[in-house]
Amino acid sequence: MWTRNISIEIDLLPRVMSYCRVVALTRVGWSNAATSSATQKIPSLAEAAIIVSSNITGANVNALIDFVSISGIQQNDLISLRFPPGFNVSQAIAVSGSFETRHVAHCGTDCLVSPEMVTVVYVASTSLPASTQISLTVNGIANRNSAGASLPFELRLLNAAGTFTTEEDLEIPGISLQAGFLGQSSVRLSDERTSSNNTVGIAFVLSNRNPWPSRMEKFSSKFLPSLISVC
Amino acid sequence: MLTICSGDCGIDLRSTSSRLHVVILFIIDIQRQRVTLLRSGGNSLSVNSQVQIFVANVRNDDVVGKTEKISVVIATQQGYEIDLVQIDGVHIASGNLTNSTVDLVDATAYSITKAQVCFVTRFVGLLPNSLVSITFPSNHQISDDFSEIIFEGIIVSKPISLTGNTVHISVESFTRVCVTLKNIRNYHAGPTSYYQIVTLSITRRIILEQNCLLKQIL
Repeated sequence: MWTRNISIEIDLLPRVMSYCRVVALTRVGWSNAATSSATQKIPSLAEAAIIVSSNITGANVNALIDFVSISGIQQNDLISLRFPPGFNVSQAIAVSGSFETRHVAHCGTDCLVSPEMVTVVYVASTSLPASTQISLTVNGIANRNSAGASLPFELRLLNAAGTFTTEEDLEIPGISLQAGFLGQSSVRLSDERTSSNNTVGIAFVLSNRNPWPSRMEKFSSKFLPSLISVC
Repeated sequence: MLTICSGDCGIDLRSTSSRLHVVILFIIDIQRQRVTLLRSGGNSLSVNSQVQIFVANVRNDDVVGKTEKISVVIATQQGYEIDLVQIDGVHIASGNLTNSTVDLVDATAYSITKAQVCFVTRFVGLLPNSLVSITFPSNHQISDDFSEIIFEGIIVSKPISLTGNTVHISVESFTRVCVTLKNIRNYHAGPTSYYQIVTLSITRRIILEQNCLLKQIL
């Protein structure tokens, strides 16, 4: 009788507690048993980055996605991208030859689908081996309409059915959005004389990216010093 | 400089896009030179819409010249900016002094006489530490002896000074000002050229108000 280590590979859903019971079985019956448990973890993507072509509010941008898969990608595997809240991906389309956009969002393990998700299918016939640098471009993304820092991007590799996640990075740095520009602006005073009370006419054209939402939005007009007071 | 709104502030917004949009705006905040308006309903204005907003009861600067740039920002209710623009400053013209007169007590040529200069300020008035600058025609001679200058209805904060044919007087605020200067000599008979009265900011030496055109003395 001797003891040896045996490795058994089992495909299990990540983040699910798995139990293992080992028991020696002889011709005379069961021997002592040992149990163990472990929770599967989703491997992390390496060097994941998403760069958008503009950080102006509402701009129509291209997104360049880079990452390294530690396990490789098979034909029909899915890449699920989640843009930060407020981004519009309804017109998104993958332009890299080996990838196609799928207009049904898949999310994988422990994930809820949201409107900012884009799913891309790897359609090439040859598999990408492990540790391959992968790049793809997705066009037709509209930036969020308001300035400020965005939440992180999320990137997941899914099986072909989109039912579980094989690798992921949920903390890809977001971007800092900057306000766009109003056009054809002018200011006119009804009375230009010093210290007179007058009505200021401010004219401008909304940008070609951002409408002025109907409710609960501010128009903030800042009169810098020397036009003096609003009374 | 800021005067807090004591009544309703008039706000009007017009959009000249394909159809008229009426948008209700409220002033929700005034901080120094910044006024913030809040939309409370109406239709969404589509991209490229032309928009006009009128803000009533804005008081101009006291001094003449171009203002600093004016910033206009559209933001979300949480304060995140959507779009913005920096507009070139507007030009502030001088206010007009009214009822301005210059009377020479003795209009005889070559006589040494007193001159009474009166005017009424407009919106600016005479600010503390402002200057009144009176420029006499070139055919007048002004003595530097101002010991008998008389001010009516104003408090003199500082003695006057003389630069060429211009008398500078520092005064505190009031609306009607009369100054009598002595030792003015008019060399020639006949019409004089124009007298000029200007109020100035003493710190910035910038015009506040001035008379349009003062009468000629025969």
